[in-house]
Amino acid sequence: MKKAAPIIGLIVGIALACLLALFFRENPLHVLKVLLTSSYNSKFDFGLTLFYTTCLIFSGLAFSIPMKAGLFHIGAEGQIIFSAVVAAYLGHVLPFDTSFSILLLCVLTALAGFLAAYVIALLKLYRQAHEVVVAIMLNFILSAFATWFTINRLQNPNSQNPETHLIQPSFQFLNNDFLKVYFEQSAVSSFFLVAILFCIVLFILEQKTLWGLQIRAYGSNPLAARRLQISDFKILTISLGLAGVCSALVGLTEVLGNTFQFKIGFSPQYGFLGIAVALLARNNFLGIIASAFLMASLHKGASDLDLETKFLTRDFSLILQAIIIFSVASSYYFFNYRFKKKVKLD
Amino acid sequence: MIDSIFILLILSTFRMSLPLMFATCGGYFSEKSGVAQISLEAFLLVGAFTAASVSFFSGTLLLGYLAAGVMAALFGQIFCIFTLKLKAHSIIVGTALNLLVMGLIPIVSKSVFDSTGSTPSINADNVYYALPVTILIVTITAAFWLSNRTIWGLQMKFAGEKRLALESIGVNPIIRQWQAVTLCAFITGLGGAVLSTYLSSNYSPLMSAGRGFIALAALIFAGWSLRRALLVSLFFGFCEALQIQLQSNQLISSRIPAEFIQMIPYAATLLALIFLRAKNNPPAELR
Amino acid sequence: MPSSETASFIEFKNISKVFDEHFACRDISLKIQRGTVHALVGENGAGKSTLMKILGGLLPATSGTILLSEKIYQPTSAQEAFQNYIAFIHQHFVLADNLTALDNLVLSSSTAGSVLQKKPMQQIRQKAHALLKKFSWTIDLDKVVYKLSIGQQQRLEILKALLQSPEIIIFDEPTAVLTPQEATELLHFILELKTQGKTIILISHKLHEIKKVADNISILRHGELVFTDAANSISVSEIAEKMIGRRLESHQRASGHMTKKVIFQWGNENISLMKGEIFGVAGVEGNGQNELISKMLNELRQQKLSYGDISEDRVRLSVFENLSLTEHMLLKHPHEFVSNGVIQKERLEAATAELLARWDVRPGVVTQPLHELSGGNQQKFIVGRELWNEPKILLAAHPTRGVDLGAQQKIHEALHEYKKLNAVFLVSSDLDEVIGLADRYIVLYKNKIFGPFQKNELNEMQIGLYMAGGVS
Repeated sequence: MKKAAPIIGLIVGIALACLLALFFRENPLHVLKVLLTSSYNSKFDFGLTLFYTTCLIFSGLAFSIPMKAGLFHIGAEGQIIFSAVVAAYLGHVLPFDTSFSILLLCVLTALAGFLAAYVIALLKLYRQAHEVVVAIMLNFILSAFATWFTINRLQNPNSQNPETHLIQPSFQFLNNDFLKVYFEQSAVSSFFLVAILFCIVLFILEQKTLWGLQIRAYGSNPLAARRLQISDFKILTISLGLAGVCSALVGLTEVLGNTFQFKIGFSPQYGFLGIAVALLARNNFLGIIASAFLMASLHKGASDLDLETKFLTRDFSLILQAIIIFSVASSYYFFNYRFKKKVKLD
Repeated sequence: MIDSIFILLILSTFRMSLPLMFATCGGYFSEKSGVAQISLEAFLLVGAFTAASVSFFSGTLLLGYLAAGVMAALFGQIFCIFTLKLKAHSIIVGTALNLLVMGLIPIVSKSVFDSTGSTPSINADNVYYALPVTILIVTITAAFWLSNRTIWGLQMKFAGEKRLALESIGVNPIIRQWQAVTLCAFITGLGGAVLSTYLSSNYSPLMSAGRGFIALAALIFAGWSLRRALLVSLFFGFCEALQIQLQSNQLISSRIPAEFIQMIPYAATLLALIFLRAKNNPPAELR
Repeated sequence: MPSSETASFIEFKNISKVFDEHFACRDISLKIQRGTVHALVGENGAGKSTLMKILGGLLPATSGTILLSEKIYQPTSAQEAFQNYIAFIHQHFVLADNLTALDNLVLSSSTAGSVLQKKPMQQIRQKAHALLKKFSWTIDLDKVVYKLSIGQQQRLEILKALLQSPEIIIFDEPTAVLTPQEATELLHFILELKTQGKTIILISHKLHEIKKVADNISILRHGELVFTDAANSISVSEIAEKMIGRRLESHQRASGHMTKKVIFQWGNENISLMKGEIFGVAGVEGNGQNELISKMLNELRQQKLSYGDISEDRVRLSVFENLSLTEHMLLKHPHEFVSNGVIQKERLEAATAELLARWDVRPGVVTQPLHELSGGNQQKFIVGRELWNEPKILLAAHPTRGVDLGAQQKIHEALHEYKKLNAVFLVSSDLDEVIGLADRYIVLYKNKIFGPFQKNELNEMQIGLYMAGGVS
């Protein structure tokens, strides 16, 4: 029953969200239908859902990895935006000769994400600053920087909207990407496979290596970990660093795989949606694949509500996420609530 | 010339500090009672939207303030049910509540005003400048009295410091936390009302602009002392005032891009985290 | 209303308490007379604290009744016990460290009602001062609690209880944190309370203390009452025997393996450990033990000596919730069980299983999370794990705290065996442990080191003087 808790929480959450639609004079069944079916209308729609799945897997990982070390990492949003603008810039200026350039671009972007996340680690290590406060401040600063950089340095001259130049065609994952071709040039790209691979590799690393164990140990009891000479530095570097890399991969998925440029406001709060994804998967790296797909379907559905209903806007997606987080987080209470098994006798 | 800029800056500092002080004061009660609070942002937004709407329809600012506090307190109940009753983690619930409010307001706004963006302006004749200051003074005085002089304040602190002591005199710490979080939401809601009716004359999307988080940072810096936290929020208010002054100054804004000037409050928070070592004594049972 | 001489004041009738099908108390019937000191003894986990928590309203009984002045009393909260004039002085103080002593007193006399009233500061201050004067104690009521000494904190805790003028006072292991002098003082104080007509229940495992003050003794073993009668009808060794169900071996161990070979020289602190000795650190807790331990650890790491580390606070510093026994083993000895970056699972599990068997850790399932084991079994596992690779030096901080007598004996034997090979650095606030085991020892008082002294160089009271800062 314990394992089923998040799934039941999810179902209750969707039901509640649909009931909420009643408030706004919408038919809940219609809302439900749009939510559940809009992903499968066409190959193109499904490709879009898989694109969202890719982004949510990475952002879910970005929350989940530090969570293993007991850290609340809510800085993914800023890192995503920052790394997306870096990717757009590199895609514009890097000379393209071999496929090595693509690799270089990916590595440099990942490095940008790593560094952005590393600021949190440094402040926590050397100033004992609370990671939540630092992450939130960084989110504001990084997105302001991205806005400035886009408008003043990289503005697409052919557009009225604040967005960057397109990256060079050879960097674009387009006709050379078999997934994209299969899904009729939809938003999905090979990064989907990278995301799945990431989950599997991380799962294995967590279970089979000493680092994985040390991170879990640190998350369970940092004082005891320090006593065993597991260094804070190492744990924070690995966990937040990897989280930054995962955030950067969201940026790459968008810039190399979808729009081929950085658009201000492209992210529908992926960073925060990742929290819901991780929570739903109970922080299990393999579970994240399934929960990201579920949330992506709902997100796709919710963004169609804008067209399909009169009063609901795409902001309904945020409400949906919130309600799902609420109901999943509290489902543990209903299914798992027992007094601590071992009551201290003395 | 220099003098007038200086005076403007001071006045502006006080103006910009108002919502922060409300949020800090609110956050103090929640954190001190042992409930980590990252939903100040949500309470500010709810307060701002409610105050703008109610003042618009009723034409009375005071009613707007009251409604803002009450509505935020109602949202505070959601927070309480999930963290205190259903034992979900306060940071997760806080994040979700922020998302909920960010999603809910545009939809409510669309069905009330047929616009997902800003609400219509409040009639300027009604704007009575002494009102927010009076409310702030009353709030701060009440907050100090409540937390330092009354039995309730003492019991509220024990909920954050030593629950067992509270339980052993037959007081349920959850009830004190519930009351503290409700009070927190109410006060922070008032701060939201200041945003939409005093600093501007309507509600615009996400107008809290991270002030809830800045207030939380102020509290953490101040080592969870109300007096020091209010001083720190005055400093953050100064940073915001500086930002506005710089942006309106032709000479400077032509040289420094607007985005960098807008970063000042957040960068100041980060720099403060780097250079001023926070006084670190959180409530013993803060979670 | 006052009952006749023979009628009992508190009467437990067939009290049982079950946790997860496990009896913490089984069918206990017990009478306590008004105006007496009643001692409740037993091993850790024998059920004495559980029984008192039922009386104090902190736990409901599974079955059975309690009569208070011949009326049925079924408390559902600590507050209800409080209203029946029962005060519980916990072993772990229930004080808010960040608030002042006075605030703590004010809180304890507040209630759930009329909370918007002003705090009655002056009133409580006067009452507290009156009591302080009566017992000639000094506590600065405006000081923040964490700045008070442990002894003062305990007095504050007692003061808190006395402000409510209770009739029944339960002391849970009150002398565990005190110097011998402070402990003697406290025992006198308990006798004084008795002359004022209070009824006192004393939970303790220090049998000599109990013999000094108790009128009656009740002994619990494995949740059952095995003895209850007048204190003068039983000897100390009989009590001990009844507590554990067998004869306890004498604690005193001969020293004599000590050689003059120094294996660890700690220059800064003028401490050296010799092969074959247990080096003890005595002192009341909070006098710099933790700082000394962390400095010691740093020094050992710098000198790259292999060491075992039994930490001073098992739950806080050694147990990872939700990690299994094998994982705990791996975290301590990573190099032995990892090759090419991959964990050698079979080797690890075999070694852990062997360790569990050797140290009699129950239940011996290697995949079970450590935190699910009982305190004694957790500690045996940790001692075994720390000694597994035969380190040069064993740092043992409060190695037997919170463990049952069986485990305690096993651990003491292990330390004694181990010192034959190498050296043990034993930190303990249990003076008996240091006196019984250490070949040489120092005494800590306010971060200052006194000694080292040889075994039998000082008697208990002399050590107590050092512990209380009475010798400079």
